[in-house]
Amino acid sequence: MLFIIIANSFLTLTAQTHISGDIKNTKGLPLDGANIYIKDSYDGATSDVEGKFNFETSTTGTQILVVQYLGYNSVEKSIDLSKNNNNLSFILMEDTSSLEPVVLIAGSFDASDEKKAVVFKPMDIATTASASGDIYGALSTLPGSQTVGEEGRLFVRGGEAYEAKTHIDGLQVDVPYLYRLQDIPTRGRFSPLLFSGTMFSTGGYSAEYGQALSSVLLLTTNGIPSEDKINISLYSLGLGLSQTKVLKKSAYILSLDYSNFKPYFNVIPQITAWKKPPESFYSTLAFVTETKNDGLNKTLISYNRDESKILYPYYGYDQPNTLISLLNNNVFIKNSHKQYITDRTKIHTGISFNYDKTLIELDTIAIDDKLISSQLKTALTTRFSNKIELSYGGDLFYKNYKETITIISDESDFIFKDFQGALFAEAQFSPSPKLAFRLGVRGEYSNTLNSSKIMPRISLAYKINKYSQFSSAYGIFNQNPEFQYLKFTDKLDPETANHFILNYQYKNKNRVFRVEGYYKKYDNLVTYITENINSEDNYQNNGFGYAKGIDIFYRDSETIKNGNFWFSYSFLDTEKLYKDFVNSATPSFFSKHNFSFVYKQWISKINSHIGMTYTFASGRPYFDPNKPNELFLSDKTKNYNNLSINYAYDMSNIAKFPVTFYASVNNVLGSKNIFGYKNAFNTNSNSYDLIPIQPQADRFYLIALFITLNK
Amino acid sequence: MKKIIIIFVAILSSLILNAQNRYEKEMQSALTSLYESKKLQDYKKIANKFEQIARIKKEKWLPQYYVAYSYTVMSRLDEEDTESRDLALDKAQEYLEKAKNLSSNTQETIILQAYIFQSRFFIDPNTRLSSFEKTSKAILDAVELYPNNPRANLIHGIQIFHKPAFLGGGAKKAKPYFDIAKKLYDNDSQTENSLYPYWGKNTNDYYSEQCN
Repeated sequence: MLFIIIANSFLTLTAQTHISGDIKNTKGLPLDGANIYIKDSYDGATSDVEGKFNFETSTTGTQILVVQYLGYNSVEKSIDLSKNNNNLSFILMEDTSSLEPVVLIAGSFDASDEKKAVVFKPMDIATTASASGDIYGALSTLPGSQTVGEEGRLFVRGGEAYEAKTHIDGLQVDVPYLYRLQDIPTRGRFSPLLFSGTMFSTGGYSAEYGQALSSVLLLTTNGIPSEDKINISLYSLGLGLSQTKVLKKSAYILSLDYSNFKPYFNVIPQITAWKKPPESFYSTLAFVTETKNDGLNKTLISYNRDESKILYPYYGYDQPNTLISLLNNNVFIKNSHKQYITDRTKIHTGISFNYDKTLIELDTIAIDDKLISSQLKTALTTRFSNKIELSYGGDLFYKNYKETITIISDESDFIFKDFQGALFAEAQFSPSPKLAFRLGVRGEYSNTLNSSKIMPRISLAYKINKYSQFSSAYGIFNQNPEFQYLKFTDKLDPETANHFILNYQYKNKNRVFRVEGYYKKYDNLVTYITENINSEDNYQNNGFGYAKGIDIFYRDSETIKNGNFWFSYSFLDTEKLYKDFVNSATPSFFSKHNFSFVYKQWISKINSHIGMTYTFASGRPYFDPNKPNELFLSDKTKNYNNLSINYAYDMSNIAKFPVTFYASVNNVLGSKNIFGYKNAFNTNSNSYDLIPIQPQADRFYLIALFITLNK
Repeated sequence: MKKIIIIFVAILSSLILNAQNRYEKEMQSALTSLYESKKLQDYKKIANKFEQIARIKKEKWLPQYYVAYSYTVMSRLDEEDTESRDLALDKAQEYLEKAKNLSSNTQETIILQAYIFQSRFFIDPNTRLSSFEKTSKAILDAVELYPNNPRANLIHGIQIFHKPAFLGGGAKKAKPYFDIAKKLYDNDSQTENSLYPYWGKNTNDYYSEQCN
């Protein structure tokens, strides 16, 4: 019995040895909260704010002391407990494997809502003041893209609107914008709220994407929502209704929207004489299902009908205005599926169908444009290790475009049909967290144009330190000419652009600074002479050009609490000889200097969100036909200025149910902007009149109420 | 001879007993400190302690679980640094995975998982909208599976409390969940002396007060 007591007390009352010291990092700063312990024992301590620690241990002999701190490499030290172990000093090195790996970012703005490395977020689109809820409007505040007020489309780095393609879940959307008549700005068909991820590339993009000379916008639709709800929006231009229903392993979101500009145009005068202001009906059904092996199947069905009529002046003639009416019907259907087929291989397949029909009528002329197109896509990604990843796959496209022009009863058809096939393969290597590169190639074949193209794509990124990295990209990009040419001839080749990009990015917490320089070389651009518009030989691939510039971006969501802002500046130098140009010149869309400042602030005290956007663009070139050919496009408009503000107020507390009030004003200061000049021959003066192209009204106002009902 | 054998066995068993007691004792004292912890520094200390126990008792799920829990709380207390908050949650997730693999008790791990998702989301709600769906789903699943667990109700309450009113959140909507949780905490047969998860009572009291 006695023995047991002695044994027990012996075990618990062993001699205690004292250990103490301090812990710093390589910069000499004390590490607070580090864990210091004797390996395989319960004895240990945590360092204090000064990096100091001390503790007692009952272990004896030679032991291993471990020092551990989150984000740093652990240190182990053998210590002899029979000796003095006070005032030990440890210096810990930052763990580079916990370093965020370098990302290939040359040319791209990623807004996928992932944990880290985000520059631009989906929510930003909905809350950018000048955008009025339009995806393309928000993107035009980023460097590299610019505001072209009378268009509303994306113009990227000296590239025309048609050079930028939109993809939804990897599938191309052929007609992403609403149809508008000349000089009246359009907007995107799709609501930003449909998407959880946005990747905007201004060049050098992956071999997975083709048929875009300048830019791709990759939108990812939402996953399965968490709960049922009904959203109602009432705004000055119409109303919207959406229902979200969550089923067992799937969900659907049905939205219906109706808008009519008539009441608004009655209150706010517009420069265009509208006979019927735009009236649109818009509906989408999104259906998402979770399948086995982490699979996700997404279907999107959208239908859009849009109608308007305007009285268009016959410039230069003493004739009454002519009535132009426009009716557009658009259907986009897609299904995409993603899942793992083995532990290492993920498959992404998709099928889409586009139908777009526009009917334009003026006087005795009717133009009927019809596009039916479809895409099949398969892409696989195999991850061999952390260091090597391979993507490969292909696309099949079918395009069927038909234009019927009826003059009185004389009907003529212009048809273009094409099958296109594409294959791509791309390997990404990340030998270390500091270095990554991607080598890819894309091959495209077009049946009707009888053309095959091989396009290499290369991208590289190197991390200099925790916060900064260099990236660069090179690639060849091809795009088939627009239907407006192909409908007359199929003896054209794809247009070509080569991109060279060099990028530097500094990112620390929520501050991002980036500078990107680029050079883009255009070849095989379509040229024609306006006089022989119908003749097949008129269209040639004789055009060429270049665009070079520097884009600067700074975003800060750290400095101001609950607020964030970004600046972007683009310098652009571009000249092209294409279309019906008589000389190589800067096309009328592009300004040399573009600047945007966007600021957003949430003020919790008054439950309000305020935002502002200021955009400046230097003058755009325009053509004065009264001047000799040497001065083609040498005149410039005055500078463009636009200050827009928005305000959202969460009035749920007053209303006793979830409701938000929203208001925005575009161009608050009413700056008299001129986008360019059209010309018309005046028979009286025997010279050309220049007619300014202006916004529809100085300011644009939007007022809305958003109501959410749960369950 | 017989006597010697008895003594020998007694010493041996007391050694084993001692080792077992040591684990319980260390856990007990760590848990006492855990429930007394208030500041970030306290939690760092206690996380280290649990981690040390977890390293020795690799086969026990509770120490792994408490490492995960302590780091989750740390990420909530650290108000300054987004990056270190994410890092803390990475660590919490790492230890929760260990706990999940060791324990057949899925209740507390499922609930802590929801808490970790929620913490991740709260770091920067504006930029993490897509993880909002995942978070809400994990929380709703946890409450549905374990309606009588106070922690599941607490987390659900917190989620609703911080949700903007126009999305159907706010103090008023959250209050019923804190009330349920309060009742469940009061009737909980677990005490602070047991090693089983017991956390959340003070947090629940804090939120209940905010709702009044």
